[in-house]
Amino acid sequence: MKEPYEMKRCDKTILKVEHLKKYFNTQKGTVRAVDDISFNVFKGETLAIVGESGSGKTTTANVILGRYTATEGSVFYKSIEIGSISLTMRPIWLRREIQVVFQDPATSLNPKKTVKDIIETAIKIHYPQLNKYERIEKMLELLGYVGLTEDHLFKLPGELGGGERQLVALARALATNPTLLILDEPTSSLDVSAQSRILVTLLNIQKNKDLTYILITHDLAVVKNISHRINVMYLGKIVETATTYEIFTKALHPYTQMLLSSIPTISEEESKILPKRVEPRGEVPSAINPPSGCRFSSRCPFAIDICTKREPLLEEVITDHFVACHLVNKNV
Amino acid sequence: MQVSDLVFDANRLLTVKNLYVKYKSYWYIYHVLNDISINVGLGEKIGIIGESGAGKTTLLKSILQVLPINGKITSGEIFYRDVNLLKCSKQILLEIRRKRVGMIFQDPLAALNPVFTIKDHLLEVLRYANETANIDKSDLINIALDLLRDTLIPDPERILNSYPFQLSGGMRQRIVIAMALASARELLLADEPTTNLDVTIQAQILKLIGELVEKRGLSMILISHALGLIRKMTERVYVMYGGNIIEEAPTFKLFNEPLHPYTQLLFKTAPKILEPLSSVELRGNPLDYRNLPNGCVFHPRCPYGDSEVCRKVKPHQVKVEKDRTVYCHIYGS
Ligand SMILES: Nc1ncnc2c1ncn2[C@@H]1O[C@H](COP(=O)(O)OP(=O)(O)OP(=O)(O)O)[C@@H](O)[C@H]1O
Ligand SMILES: Nc1ncnc2c1ncn2[C@@H]1O[C@H](COP(=O)(O)OP(=O)(O)OP(=O)(O)O)[C@@H](O)[C@H]1O
Ligand SMILES: [Mg+2]
Ligand SMILES: [Mg+2]
Repeated sequence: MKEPYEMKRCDKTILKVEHLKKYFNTQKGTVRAVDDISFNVFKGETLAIVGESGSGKTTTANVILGRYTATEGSVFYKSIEIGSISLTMRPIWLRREIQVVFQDPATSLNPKKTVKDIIETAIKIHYPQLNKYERIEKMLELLGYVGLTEDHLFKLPGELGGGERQLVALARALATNPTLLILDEPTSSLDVSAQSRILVTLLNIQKNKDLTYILITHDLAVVKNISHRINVMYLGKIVETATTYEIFTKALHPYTQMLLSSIPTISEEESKILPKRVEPRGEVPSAINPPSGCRFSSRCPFAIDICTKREPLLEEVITDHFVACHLVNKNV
Repeated sequence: MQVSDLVFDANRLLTVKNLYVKYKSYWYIYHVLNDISINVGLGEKIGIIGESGAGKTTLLKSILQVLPINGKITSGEIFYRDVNLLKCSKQILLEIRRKRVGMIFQDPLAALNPVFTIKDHLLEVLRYANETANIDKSDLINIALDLLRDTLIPDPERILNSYPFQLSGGMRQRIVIAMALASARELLLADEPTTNLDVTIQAQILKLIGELVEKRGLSMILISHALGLIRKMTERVYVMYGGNIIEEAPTFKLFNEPLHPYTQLLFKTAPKILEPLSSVELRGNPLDYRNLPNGCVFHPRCPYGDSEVCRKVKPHQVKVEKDRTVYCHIYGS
């Protein structure tokens, strides 16, 4: 198991999200994709965001990236408010420093450009001073980093396997030498050995360059292996946040427990260390009319009266371990 | 003309025999599938695992004949029931795609057309699947809403009227699942169906698929990199490497004791909850489909691949047990 992570070691906050809200207006009502969340990201750490699908993880990333602007609340990057600045208004240094690898590699890469063009363009924009040969050198170095070869250079994204495309997207993101890298399901389309290779690569790059990662994923084995802290989201809210060690040993929120106990394991030994089975059940709640009280109450096996009446707040239950649940908070 | 419901052997709902597929690009030819044979029995749950780029998606696309235009089946046979899919009429092929076999595509966003709403997508599939039943539009919409509810999509009405970009990754994936379930009466081809779903939803969706498999007597081919999922959902597994099947075994046997050196590596390097990451550097270069190695495709990267026979002779099928085969010289002699 990963060492218990000490928060003190990285007191330098690089990103601060405060009371962030992102709503979308649709024909059928207002979707509260992200509904008042706050968290910090420290320099050099990996913060994982896990949670239900549709809980607002990608939307949060999109606001940090400037693809959407915040409906309310703010995002501070190195103490500059960026939540209200859209991508096109962002200065180039800012765009260079915050990079992303997305969930759908097929669509984030231009289908008409070869791998060489894609990576070279990124290098050209961010490093105009390099000449052709230096660019090629850098390109080959990047390919080597992620485990692609020269053979891939002249292929179009459509001619690559799902996994290979993800590697190209990663090489492109690394091309600009970013400070904060957002990884939205970076390894979900890779085979397990490629996954491990990429993860080890990511860890090494992080060590060498003091890079900060926000890792969004559904793969809890990946989270366990590379993240320092975890935010668990459910329907637009953060329901639990703590160090990876804490979450895997002392998960307190029923949703987190349900999540951990549902991991499909590859051996009996693995099954044994997971929390006691909390059977997933119930209807998935609406993001337009979220359940009153606790948003998880409609699927929670332990819900009591108060859960449908009052919304639980995210409270510190143990040092650095925050939970939003009436059952837990009551016992403090 | 109808696909015969009667004449066929229950062990062979789908049979692929010695299939070769290549892709052409402007400069090169990639020999991506080389002599693939698999079979799926009625009600059987099959898994396919293997490296990224091993040709898994290509295999499924070949079965339904939805390969990209630069892809071509050069030889081999594919039988569905008693119909030879490579020789049958367009009409029969369409019937099979629309009413019998459903496919969950790997990349949900690419499988959805950005200018059409989810409603358009679902209605199109449902219309064909229920062609003969003469159902009117409002009923189809209700069926569509039920499908969305079955796949645990929140706000079904909102989602029905949304465009693909307005959905989260996991919602898009569930739409693709819903579309496949609408037409899968006999066989479900699932290519990485749950990578974008959190494990609780994943568990519920798999339960749903499991129930359908029971209820409709559905057979399934599941491709996934998530070994835990394969372990839970399938009965028999094929392992692919470099466009070849290299091992076949009942799932529990494979997970207890993988035989092929590649399969062993795969299991060793999988990210695990209990152990720290281990990344084994394979020697040699990644596979190049333009020039496949002589002998065993895996030999340049295999820890035991230095012998003469590995370099020169393509391994034959070795039956290790009655229900286990492996293509490797280690087990040959
Ligand atoms: N452009 C948009 N217009 C309308 N609704 C949107 C838009 N983008 C996202 N949403 C809605 O916001 C909610 C959150 O979506 P988001 O993509 O952030 O989820 P997620 O946590 O990343 O989920 P997943 O794990 O499935 O990728 C969903 O209900 C989605 O339908
Ligand atoms: N249209 C195409 N043109 C040329 N090459 C292609 C094309 N489609 C796929 N390929 C190549 O064929 C090989 C097999 O691809 P395929 O998508 O079948 O792999 P896969 O096993 O599904 O991989 P993954 O696990 O990454 O999805 C890859 O090397 C890929 O680059
Ligand atoms: Mg997402
Ligand atoms: Mg594939």
